[in-house]
Amino acid sequence: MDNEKFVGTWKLVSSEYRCADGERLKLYDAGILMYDAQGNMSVQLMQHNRPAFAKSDRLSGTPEEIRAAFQGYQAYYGTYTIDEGPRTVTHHLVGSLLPNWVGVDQVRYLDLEGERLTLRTPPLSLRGKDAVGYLVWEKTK
Amino acid sequence: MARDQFLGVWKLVSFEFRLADGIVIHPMGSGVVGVLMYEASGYMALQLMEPDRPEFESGDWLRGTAEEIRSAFEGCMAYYGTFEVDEPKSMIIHHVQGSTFPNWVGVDRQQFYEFSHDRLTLTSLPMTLAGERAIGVLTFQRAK
Repeated sequence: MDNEKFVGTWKLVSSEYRCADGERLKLYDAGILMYDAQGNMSVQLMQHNRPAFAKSDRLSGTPEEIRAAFQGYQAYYGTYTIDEGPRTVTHHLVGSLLPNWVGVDQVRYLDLEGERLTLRTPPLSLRGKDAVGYLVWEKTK
Repeated sequence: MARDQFLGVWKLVSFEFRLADGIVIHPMGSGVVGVLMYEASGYMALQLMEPDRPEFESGDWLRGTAEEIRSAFEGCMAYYGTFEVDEPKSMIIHHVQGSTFPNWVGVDRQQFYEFSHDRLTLTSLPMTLAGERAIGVLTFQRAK
């Protein structure tokens, strides 16, 4: 697998997090994933249905506004490497909205079919439950 | 074409507010890190953050305390969308489709641009900050 197939901009088609107890979380309904030829990457995932802050100031949110804004978003960037053997992409994070992910590696199992890319996460802790995320992306023209 | 000059990955060098009286403020600290990407298909993505925000004790995206979430959120700003270059005005317009800050979803953000060697500077329109006139200045360096 050469990196060339991944280079470009991908838009989120769907996302689903399947919890060990059967619950399915639809955390995000929009997003963008970028890979460049030099090995840089950036991703952002968003839930459209987040309330606007009453005061239009990013630093004047109420605790409820901030919680909804934060829990309906994911953003990180860094570099990436693709492994042909296990068919994974590893994101080497430089920055992340979640501070715990700064400087860590995030492995995603990948499945590429034409212009569609599915990334599957290893089990993550979401609301205290083990959940596997399935993120489906489509290449922009 | 002016648009082609933007394409690629840009690493943040500094983020400042410059006040009319000459005072410079670093709104996300002097250690702020970030990346700006412009892609040939017409999409852009920006992320700015303070590197030393406290970790969540749970390690779980959805289980932060109110304090942990506030510092993670307020110390990070991200948005993405499409972009358009207004060359006569030396302005770049970001049509925001998604943002950590919900109020920015669907808005246009316009900034003046300037290229110098391997650097790109984006300067905001004048605004009022604590009662004073100020501009926001983002400086980036092209990633190797």
